[in-house]
Amino acid sequence: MLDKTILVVDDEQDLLVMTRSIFEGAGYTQIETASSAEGALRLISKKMPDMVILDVMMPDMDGFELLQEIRAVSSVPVLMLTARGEAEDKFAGFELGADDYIVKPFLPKELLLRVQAILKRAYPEKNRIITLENSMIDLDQAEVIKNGQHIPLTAKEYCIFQKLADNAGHIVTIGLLCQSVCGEIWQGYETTLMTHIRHIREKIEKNPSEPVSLLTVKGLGYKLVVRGADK
Amino acid sequence: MKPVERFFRKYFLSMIGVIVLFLFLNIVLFFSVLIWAWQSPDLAEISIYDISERIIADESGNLTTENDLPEILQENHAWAMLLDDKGTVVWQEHLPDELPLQYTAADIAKFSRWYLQGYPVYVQEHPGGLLVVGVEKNSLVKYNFIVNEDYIKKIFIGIIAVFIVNIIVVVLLIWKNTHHVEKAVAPILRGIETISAGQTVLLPEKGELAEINQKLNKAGSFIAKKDNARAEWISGISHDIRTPLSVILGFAGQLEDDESLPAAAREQAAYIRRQGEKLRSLVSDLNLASKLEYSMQPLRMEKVFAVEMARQAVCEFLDGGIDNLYTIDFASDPQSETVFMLGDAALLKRALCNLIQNSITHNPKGCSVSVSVICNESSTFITVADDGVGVSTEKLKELRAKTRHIESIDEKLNLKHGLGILLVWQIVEAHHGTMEITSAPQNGCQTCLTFPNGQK
Repeated sequence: MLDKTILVVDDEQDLLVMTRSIFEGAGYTQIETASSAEGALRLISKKMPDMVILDVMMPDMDGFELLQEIRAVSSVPVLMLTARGEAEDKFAGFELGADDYIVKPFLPKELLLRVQAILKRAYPEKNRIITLENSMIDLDQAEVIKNGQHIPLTAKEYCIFQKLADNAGHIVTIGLLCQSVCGEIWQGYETTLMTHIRHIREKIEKNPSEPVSLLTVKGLGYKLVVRGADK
Repeated sequence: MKPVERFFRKYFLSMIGVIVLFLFLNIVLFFSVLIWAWQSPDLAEISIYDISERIIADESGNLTTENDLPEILQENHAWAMLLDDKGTVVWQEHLPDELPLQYTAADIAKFSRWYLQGYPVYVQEHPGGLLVVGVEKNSLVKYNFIVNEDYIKKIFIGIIAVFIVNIIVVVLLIWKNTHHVEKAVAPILRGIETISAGQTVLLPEKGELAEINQKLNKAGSFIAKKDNARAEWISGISHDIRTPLSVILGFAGQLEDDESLPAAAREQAAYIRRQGEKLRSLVSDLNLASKLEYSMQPLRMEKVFAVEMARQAVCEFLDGGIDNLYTIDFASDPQSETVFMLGDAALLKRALCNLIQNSITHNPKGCSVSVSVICNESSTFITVADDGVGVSTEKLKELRAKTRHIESIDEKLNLKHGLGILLVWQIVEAHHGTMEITSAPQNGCQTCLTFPNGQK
């Protein structure tokens, strides 16, 4: 993941230096910067980066136009960076095919997490194996490996687990989990979700009634604790 | 719009009052004139009865007159004669020379009704014949009318009908006129009300009062332009602050995490970051607050499941890594889960986050925050409570006293507590909701937001 090429485009030189410093501090090695849309297009024409971070307001061409130009030739993930907090901007960006959106001023951690999430989504790792305290989960095979035994996950359990794994270390609300199974209209699924969670626990935990990996956050949702993660 | 309608109703009633007064005055004046005319000196004070009484006829037909009779006639420039059954003058006093002494039945019929050769005459039956008393020419007007009863009735009813129709027509005309004026003026009055509420107006620039409407539109758009300029200015400033602030936050964060630096330097970097974060939230609050204040932020109304919305807001805090000094609980019930309200999800979440942030900011020594969302069929109740230091009575009064408009902030320039609560007020208002703050010093603070579910 850390070897992906990330192109940052912003007309503010100091911001470019800062973002480069953040990414390099986090271990990313291939950071490119451009201080104008023209420069960005030149870099892109030479070699398409793995991800683009785009400022919306630039003097020569606004970020949306640049996004359109990029979208005309590539589906590379794009994160929009804007100094305007308006919802309209956000929606315009998504409509033109941006993958995510950050409003300035952002916290370094927020930028890193978002980029990480986008990269993970765009370039899924092969052999995705998640290591928990008492078991391992092979997402490609949709099975749990506990004490040398292979226990398959049902389709719904898989959906729920994947959602939790994508947000490992963070609380995933009950609503978002239900949504991952049922889609937009999920109200009323909460009790069924609890049953699924219980089943998942039976498969991944040593003692399902005292979970250490799949934690309940009372009233809010659930959190998956991955072994070796820094959170 | 009550005052405008009240004004025109009053105006209409006062017009009716004027008409009633006018009629009453006329009736009084009319009778006054009658009484005045009645009292004017009579040209003929002479009474035919008096004269008749002064002429006495005995059984044999001989006539005797009282002594003062010639005098009375003289005073009144009158004359008198007595005709027998054949129309012959049997007695006379001051009879003008030009008048004959013999009258036919036709003559008698004529003069008793009209005039005798220009002399107005009174006629009365007398034991001695027919008494005729004449007065000076042109001193009396004689009317005679003979009508049938039906005619009188019709005239009487007709007059009443005309009177009533007149009243109705006058009232209708007044009503129509008032209505006309109201139609022209009411929009202007409403426009003034709208402008005073800080909104723009667009009145049709036609009709008799087009010029006034035009000026009102101009005033409205002028105010709007000023407000817009203000909001734009704030938006511009906050935009320009954002990029430098990103750089400050970014580098400060990195310095803070740099383990090769001395602890003191890292701590200083942490101060810079924390203060930078305060600026960050102030900038975004200021921008949104000014946009909401000047109605430049369109609401994106959609179905919002408040329970899930609140969960996500709370999770953002918990995941954002709050200090160990703080705990945030969340409570709801299964029934509330399926209820939705119409609202702008992003703004509602912002309001809730601001309330939670407020509890954290005002309790630097830590506190536990409880968030609860309860929905019934008609309303959604979002409550944020903490067990922290609470709010002084004075400050509570200030918070409740609708100081939620940006103007009041400008006047006081008091941004010590940030724009958080102001923004919550604005969001609640934009959703037609209510906000209730209860608190006691050292006894925590509780804020309850109530929103109607079905509003558009």
